[in-house]
Amino acid sequence: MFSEYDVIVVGAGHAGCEAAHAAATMGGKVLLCTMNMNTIAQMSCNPAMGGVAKGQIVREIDALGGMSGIISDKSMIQFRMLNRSKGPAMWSPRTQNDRMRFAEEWRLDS
Amino acid sequence: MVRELIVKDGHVLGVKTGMGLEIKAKSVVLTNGTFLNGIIHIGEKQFGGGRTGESAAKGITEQLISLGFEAGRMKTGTPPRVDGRSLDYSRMEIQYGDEQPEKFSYSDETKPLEKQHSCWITYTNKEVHETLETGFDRSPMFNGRIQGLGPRYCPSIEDKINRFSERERHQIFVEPEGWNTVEIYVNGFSTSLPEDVQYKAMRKIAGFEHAKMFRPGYAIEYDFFPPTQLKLTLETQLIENLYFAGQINGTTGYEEAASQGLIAGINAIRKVREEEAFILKRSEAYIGVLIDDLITKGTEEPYRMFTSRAEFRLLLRQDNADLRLTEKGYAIGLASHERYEAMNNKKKQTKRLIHDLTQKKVTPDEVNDKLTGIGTAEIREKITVDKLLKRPQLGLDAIATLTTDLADYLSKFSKEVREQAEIQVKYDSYIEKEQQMVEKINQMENFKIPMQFDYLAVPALSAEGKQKLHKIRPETLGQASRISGVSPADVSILTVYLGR
Repeated sequence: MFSEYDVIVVGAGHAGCEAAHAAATMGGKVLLCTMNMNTIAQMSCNPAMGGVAKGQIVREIDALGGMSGIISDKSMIQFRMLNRSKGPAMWSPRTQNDRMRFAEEWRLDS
Repeated sequence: MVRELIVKDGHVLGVKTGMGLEIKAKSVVLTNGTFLNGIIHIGEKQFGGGRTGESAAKGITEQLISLGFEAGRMKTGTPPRVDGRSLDYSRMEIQYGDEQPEKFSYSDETKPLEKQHSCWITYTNKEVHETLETGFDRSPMFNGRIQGLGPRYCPSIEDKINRFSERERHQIFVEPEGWNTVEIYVNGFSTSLPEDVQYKAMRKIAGFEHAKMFRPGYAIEYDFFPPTQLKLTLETQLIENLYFAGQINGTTGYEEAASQGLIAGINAIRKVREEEAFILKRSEAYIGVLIDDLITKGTEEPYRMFTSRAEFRLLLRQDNADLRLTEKGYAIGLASHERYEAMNNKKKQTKRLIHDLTQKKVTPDEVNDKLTGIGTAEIREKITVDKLLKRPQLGLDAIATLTTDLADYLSKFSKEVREQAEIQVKYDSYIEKEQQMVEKINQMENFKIPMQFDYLAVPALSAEGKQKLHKIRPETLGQASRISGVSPADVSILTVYLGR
């Protein structure tokens, strides 16, 4: 343990994991605090990522160097591009995910 | 467990754990999700908790309020999970994945799926609704026990029945939770009705006649902090080096949370190093729209992203996020060099392809038979290929079938480059129009207002404008113009006052 961290992140859900990964990748001394190591990056609601407008956000996170896109890809069990019949501004990627693998990939990959 | 922040003279200096351990830090990012004073509701039962089977976090909200923060309460919910082996899929519609699946990441690190899992669709019916209604008197939603506002666009089934009583059925998506599990997520059936009512009603859904329930749905209430108390970096205005991200800011959704975490993490480390703030504009990313909306307008109910929230959605496409953002990610040391190179290569190749399409010509003799076959008008004279590509019936895949020369040429480019070139050529004039609007608006967006600017000392501002500006402390003139209650006249006055 360091005597002083650059960044402490409290909570290890989707926001906390991305925050800790970004700050650490950029070279910071980072501590991620969670109540339970076994329940980080839970898909506590539906086992899916992306969808209309949300899929664009995942692509943006990936483009910036965040992890949500890679983790979703590694744990997906189905992929659909929603709104394919509309114009390209509306195309929205969505994956159905393996909930356990999603959390596991976050633990192992970052 | 973190119980408390260490705060001194308006700066955060670390955290204190439940066991009294003090850990020092130059910055702290709070992403507590639904855990802050979380209360789970199932029918008349209620108990403290952050998620099912996990305890809530206490102490942090109370401390933040004592430091001067304003807090509120929100609600969300989740449906029951069932045993997939107990369902009759022959009574449902099957929903396959795409025939040619893609993926999220622009990197080569991941591959599209070769084998996919299916989902299913079924519907509720009158009987399901009637059974659910028998539990309404014990519903925490309807008898006032739940006070927080829930997500408008992801309502519980009892909410849907109540609000849209004319609808005889609602769609239910039957989603498997993984490759090696029999657990099924009953999407569309989120509920906090008593367990026995959930179970009875669920079994009246087509295909669910013998369903076994692993765990019931529930509603959860939690604390959030109205996000107008933040800066565009997600740092709080009150406490320096303290950042908030995710549901604590009143949003709903994994993607909304993850993107805020990313921006908070980036800015936390950059501020420690005394580097410039990292802010994405509304014209650059949905993430920019999300954060600007939260900080400028706040939110009364769980905020989720929609394409309609973005004014430049023709620019903010899923196919060009790398072209928009990877250079920025690389410049701050987050995106790798390989990603930066790959993006540059895609950009160069796309440019080359578009250029060549404006040079390559086809003659009526060469292509008219094929064009008729595709169902599009013949050409009268020699024209360039980009003109053909602008026709709605023609994509680059169809153009490749016109001549062997074109087929050979186009095969040199990757699928991503062809798609990018096609979109840019087809929507050229619309994209240009949006870009012109962005440039106009950027004059306001780039006009910075000093954080300490004293709005109360500007007598000409309207009373409401003054109050809102003082509270939200916009960082640019553009942001000021989007605050509700700040009139166009207020914006002109500000412009003059700030010495435009």
